[in-house]
Amino acid sequence: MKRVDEYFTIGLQHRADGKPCQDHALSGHDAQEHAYVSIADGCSSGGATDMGARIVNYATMQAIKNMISWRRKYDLVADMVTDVVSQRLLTIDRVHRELHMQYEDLLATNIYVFSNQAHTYAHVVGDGIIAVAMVNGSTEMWRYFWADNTPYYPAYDLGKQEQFIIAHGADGMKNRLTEEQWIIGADGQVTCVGITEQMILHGMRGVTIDLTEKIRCGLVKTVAIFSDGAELVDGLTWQQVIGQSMAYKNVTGAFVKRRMMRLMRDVSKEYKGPLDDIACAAIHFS
Amino acid sequence: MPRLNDSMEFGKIGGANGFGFSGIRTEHLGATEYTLVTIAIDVTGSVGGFEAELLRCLKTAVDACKKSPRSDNLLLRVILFSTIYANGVEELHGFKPLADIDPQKDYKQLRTGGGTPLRDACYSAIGAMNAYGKKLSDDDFGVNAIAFIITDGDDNASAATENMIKQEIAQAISGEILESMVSVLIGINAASYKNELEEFQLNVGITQYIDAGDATAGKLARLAEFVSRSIASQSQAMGTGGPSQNISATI
Repeated sequence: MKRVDEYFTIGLQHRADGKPCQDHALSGHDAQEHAYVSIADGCSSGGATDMGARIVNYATMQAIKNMISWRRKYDLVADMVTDVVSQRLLTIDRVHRELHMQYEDLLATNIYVFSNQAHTYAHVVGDGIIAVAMVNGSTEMWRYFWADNTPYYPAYDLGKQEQFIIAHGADGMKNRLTEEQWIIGADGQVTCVGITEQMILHGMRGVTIDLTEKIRCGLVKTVAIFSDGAELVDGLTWQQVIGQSMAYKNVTGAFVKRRMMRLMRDVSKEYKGPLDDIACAAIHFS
Repeated sequence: MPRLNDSMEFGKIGGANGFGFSGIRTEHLGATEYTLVTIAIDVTGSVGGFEAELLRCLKTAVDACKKSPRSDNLLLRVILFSTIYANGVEELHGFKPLADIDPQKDYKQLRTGGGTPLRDACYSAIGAMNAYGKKLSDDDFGVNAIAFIITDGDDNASAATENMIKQEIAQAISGEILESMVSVLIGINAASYKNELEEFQLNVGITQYIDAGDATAGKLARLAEFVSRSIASQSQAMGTGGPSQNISATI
């Protein structure tokens, strides 16, 4: 059985500046064991990226629903990613034209997780964290960030790829995306197990983590995704934020919201709490 | 908490023997926050004669709560108190969502008789909210609480002491478990016990005492309205860190 839930909240900086929350999260599932979650993080220096984050997020969710409704048999996760990404782009393009939105309004990162009976994978375009809580009590985490805090956004696929490469030094082969892999052991020990630099051209396509085998072997309890706001919670390291965010007491109903709301409340008692907006969403397998 | 049945479980209040309660298992709850509501009703011998109106009052209050926008965030426990019950207190039902309660079908005619274990009723009402509230809080639910103890007389037959109630109330309002707790002692047909009930309220720390006047149909209808309005108010206060402020001092 798969359960899904999501949460997003405004951070201290945007609250103080009178700005809206630019993070957004969605989740969905159906009786056929499809489960999907998606988060988007709007660019602070963009336009109305609170709207952009929502549009990107809804576009991803609609793309996933379209993929489900096509009932196509996918042998490769890569084919699923291609279909979702292309459908997402079509929706973003159509909606922003219809709403006469500025291009800058659409600048939002996107991470989503899709799971059906055959496959489970996470796909990230931009930055953020993917975390997998294992049945054995450990948690595996992948953290993505771009040099100069200049991430690739899905909306750049609307003809802005070249400008993006130029902004990063005009060499698409340059390593500008960093992937850090961390593990929180069952004993709480936090270990960095690898740092990989990736080329701009690779990062622009997005990074896929195929979790199919781990799920099939029954090793996974929860897959969760977090915006980079999880790295800016006053009083906690980002690894602590991830670990504590996924310590669900029970997984009925609004389980992600309950855990995150409690965590933010608790950390705000002694510290400032979330400085940046945070979005997270999770699929729990039981 | 040991398992009582599939959806409800049983818990003990404090360390006192004989004081227990039931509540829906938290695995069946989906919202982020809940207001625990306890209504304790005096069914002693002196209530005989207006028990039908009292029952109507209870049904009206619960029906009104079911229509509240916050109804999905309420968990209601109803207890009856009298010495006709083994431990002075009997649960009509434990903490459960309003969607699972049909007052018109579930609340049968009240049987009256016996003496007034008012302190036991207060201890059970507040203590159960603390114990069940802790379980909810431990499971990350936001939780506050409100209790109504409706009586027509002073205590004359309790095992619980004022100090036991005082400790439970102190814990309830400390903010450690419940975000906030409001308790209301309501006297009906209790004009002759006004002083004793007010003294009891002050001694143990109950938030307020309200003299609802005579047990007329009109007064009890207003009492039902007061109860449902107060519940809605306390539920809306969730997340503010404090109790609701607009509970009327009169009915």
